[in-house]
Amino acid sequence: MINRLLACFALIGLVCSPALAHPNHAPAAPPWQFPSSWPDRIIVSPGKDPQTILTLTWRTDATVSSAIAEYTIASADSRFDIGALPKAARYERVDFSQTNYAADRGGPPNEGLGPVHYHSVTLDGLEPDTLYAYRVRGAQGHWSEWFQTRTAPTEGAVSFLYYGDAQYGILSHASRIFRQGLLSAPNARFVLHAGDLVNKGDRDLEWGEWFQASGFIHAMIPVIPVAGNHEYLETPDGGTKDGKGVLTDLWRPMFTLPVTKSLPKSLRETVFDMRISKDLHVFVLDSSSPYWNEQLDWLVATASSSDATWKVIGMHHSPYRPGLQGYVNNPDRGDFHRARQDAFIAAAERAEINLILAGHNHSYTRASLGDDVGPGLPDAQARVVLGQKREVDLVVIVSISGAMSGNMTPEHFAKNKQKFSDDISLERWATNTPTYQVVRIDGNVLNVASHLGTGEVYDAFSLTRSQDGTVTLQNLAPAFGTVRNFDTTGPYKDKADLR
Amino acid sequence: MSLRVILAGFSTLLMTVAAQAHPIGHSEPLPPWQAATSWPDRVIATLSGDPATEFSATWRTDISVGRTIIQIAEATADTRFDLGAETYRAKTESVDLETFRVSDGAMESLENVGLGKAHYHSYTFTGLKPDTLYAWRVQGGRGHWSEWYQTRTASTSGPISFVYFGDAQNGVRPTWSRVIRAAFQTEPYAAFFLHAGDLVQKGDSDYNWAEWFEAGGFIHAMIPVVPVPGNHENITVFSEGPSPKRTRVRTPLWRPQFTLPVDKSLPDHLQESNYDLRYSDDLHLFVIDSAQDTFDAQATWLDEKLSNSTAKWRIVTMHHPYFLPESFDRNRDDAARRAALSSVIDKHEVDLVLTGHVHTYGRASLPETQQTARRALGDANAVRTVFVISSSGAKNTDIWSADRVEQSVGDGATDLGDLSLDRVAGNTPMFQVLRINGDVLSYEARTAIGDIYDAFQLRKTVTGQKQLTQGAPAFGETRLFSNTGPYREWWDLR
Repeated sequence: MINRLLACFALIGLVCSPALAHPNHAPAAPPWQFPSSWPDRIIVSPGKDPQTILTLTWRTDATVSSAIAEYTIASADSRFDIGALPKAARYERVDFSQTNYAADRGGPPNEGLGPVHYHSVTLDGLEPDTLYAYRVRGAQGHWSEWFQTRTAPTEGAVSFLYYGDAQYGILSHASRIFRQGLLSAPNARFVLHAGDLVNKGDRDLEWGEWFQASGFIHAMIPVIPVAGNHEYLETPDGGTKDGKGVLTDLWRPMFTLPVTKSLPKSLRETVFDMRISKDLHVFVLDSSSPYWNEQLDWLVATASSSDATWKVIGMHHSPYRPGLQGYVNNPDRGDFHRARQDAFIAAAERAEINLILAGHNHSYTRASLGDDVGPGLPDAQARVVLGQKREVDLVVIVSISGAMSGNMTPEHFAKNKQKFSDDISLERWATNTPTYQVVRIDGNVLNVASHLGTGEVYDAFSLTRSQDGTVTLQNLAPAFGTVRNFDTTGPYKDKADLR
Repeated sequence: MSLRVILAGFSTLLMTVAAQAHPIGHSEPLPPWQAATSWPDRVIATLSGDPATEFSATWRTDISVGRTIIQIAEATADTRFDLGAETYRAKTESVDLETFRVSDGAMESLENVGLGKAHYHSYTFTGLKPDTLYAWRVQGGRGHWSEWYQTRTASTSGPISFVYFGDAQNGVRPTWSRVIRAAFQTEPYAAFFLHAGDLVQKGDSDYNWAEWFEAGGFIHAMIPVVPVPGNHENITVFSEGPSPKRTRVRTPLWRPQFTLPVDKSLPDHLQESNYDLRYSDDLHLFVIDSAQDTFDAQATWLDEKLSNSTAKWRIVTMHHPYFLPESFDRNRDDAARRAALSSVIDKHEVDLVLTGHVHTYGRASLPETQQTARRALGDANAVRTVFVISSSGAKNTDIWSADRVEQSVGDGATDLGDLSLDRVAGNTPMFQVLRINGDVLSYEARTAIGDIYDAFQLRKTVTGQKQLTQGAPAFGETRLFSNTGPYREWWDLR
């Protein structure tokens, strides 16, 4: 028995070696993946009431069990930090030998990684629209820097950033999209990541990339992460594709998000709403969860009672699926999705949702839904011309921030559209083009600009809400530029060479 | 006890041991953001030649990385903008962090005991297109790449903005980080970030530099950095022999960390620390290494450079201030420096002199004609040169008393010679945004929370004269130690 135990230890020693050695000697693993007694992966998120609540989450190695945060209103003084208030953190232990992992991979994806602690603090009773300074601590004396972050305003103009799937080339390629986004909207009130933040939701290395890609941005601008199917782990009986997967065990420790108590437990911290300001109410759905109708019932109940000017949903799967061959070719799966989509659209209409921010399709599409949207693409000639306005019920955006592009075309769109609805018009699309979106809300006007990785605006439109609640859409000049697709852009290569 | 528990405990133990094993000679492990690895860190973009067609990248690894490479591609909107990137071999310098040896002697750095050596790699991209966004990345060990950073080359003409910081120096990671990040939020498209000396407290300390790089993070790699050396970038070396001679020299970390213009017309000790950058037709920047003892040679150099410069706006930056309240003027070097440089600055009617050193904020101007009345909002006054002292770090010096400010500002600051003191602040770290658009230069000084504290505009007339117009923020309440929050020295900041 002793021999066997020793053998086990020796084996574990080998398996653990990347973590055991100093990063210097672990060629395969980047130093920023490893936990230490210093805080890292620091992220701020809005609370249920973003005007008065912010949550902080950070990571250390398992030697740190009593971390704290300190916070104060940021002032212009040299020592703004004098008099900061401490707040003790809770922690969740993530033991990679115990965490769930995808059934389609032979074994755990985090070999050699010791357990880590994710610490979190909820700052409540804050003042709206106020700049706070905070820092977080790992071991004694191991403090982060002071970060400045602002609570949401009760009213007034609000802008925010939204990113589609990072997923592949997260650090190498998506980082430029995240950072360029900050250049375009440095005072964004929050950042929404619409799911598939990583490719393998159970793999710590990819989350390390995701945190590294944004760096201190995550700690300055509150983050609203949306769970996508890649944050779900496929189960042996059909994976996430039919809504049977489970959320990665890493999600809840890494993020501190609102819990909607009326929903099934498996939806906590993936389905929630945040009333950002008088004008904006954000709803986050978990479109990979089997509990779909429960979410829709909750959405209708919550959103219909909201008096916000604009109601925006962040969800990973768009209510239509341009370019997804499986949808067309696999009737079973098609039916499954169609049932969910039909239910969703009915709910969104009842809830009077204005804008849906989604991902999943690895392309850029912006579509309008409504009785009067016209034929839309691929009949591009029929599209509304610059300057004209028309009434819409709902606008759906799909975008991508990472380094894998799908090949959606208007023909795909038209094909799927027939299965879905005639009341949908494709206003603008692109492939081979990662983008980020800046959404600006000022009273009755909501503006969206989709920027390329170089910062230029590729698509822009405005929604204007009238007294009676009707919303008119106006396409702005960038929406009429040359369409970017695989024929009009540079070469593409699949993700295989990306780290 | 289950096997799983035993194993979990065992691996925790091993991890703990590993964490404590490095570096040799330290009882405590280095912060992860200090330790060098075979992955690139401290990645920084600088300007070292013609900013329209060249920029440089510098980064660090441990000594396991001998030769390595860098890649660049024009940034496009394509998913794989990186296909077809060009690859170049980097230049590598080895730096012994524990013992600095220079021609004048050596220094054992007690700050760096146990750190051994590090490798700094650099490369200067040339032949680039003006006003073009490039994507570039650097490698450490094979396959250990940084992310792709996007950096824009200078436009030969058109509007320019840049950010200028006074001394970071103290509390760099804890508190200066909020200043540089607020500056990034305020002016995300800045052409460069200028740091007017005393970036750190101890120029030899690898920990101090780790803080400076960590505070800026990826900003340093996106927006080119123009670093100016200050007295804290100097170290003290002792010659060998029976009666060791003490000499102050620039830290041997400076040149490996920053790839800057080399000007062969200057003595060796001023290479990469005393230089000029002609940014565009509208802006020419002159960096004086004021922590060296060679003011006359530098004044001659500046005179020649200014004589040959046709740029519309000409800005001198150096660490030591050109003006100081007399009560603070303890250092005779400052007087000597002023004597050597003042005639040159005056002769060429340099537009702005941007400095640090005093850990306070002060803005003064040299009027074309003697002023008697305090300027009012909206007035335009003819000025020759505007002088700024600023500070961005946690250390602040209480030099402006309420009486003194009243007297200085109210009476045209006669105790500053011909200068007129326009705006001061105490206890307030600041960053400055300067925007140049043809004949107009707009200036604002902002606090760490982004508020505009001071503002003015300079407008060039057809005859080349400058009209200074005070902005509204210049007339707000003066921030002093007496009317702001509590202050404490920076010792507790880590």
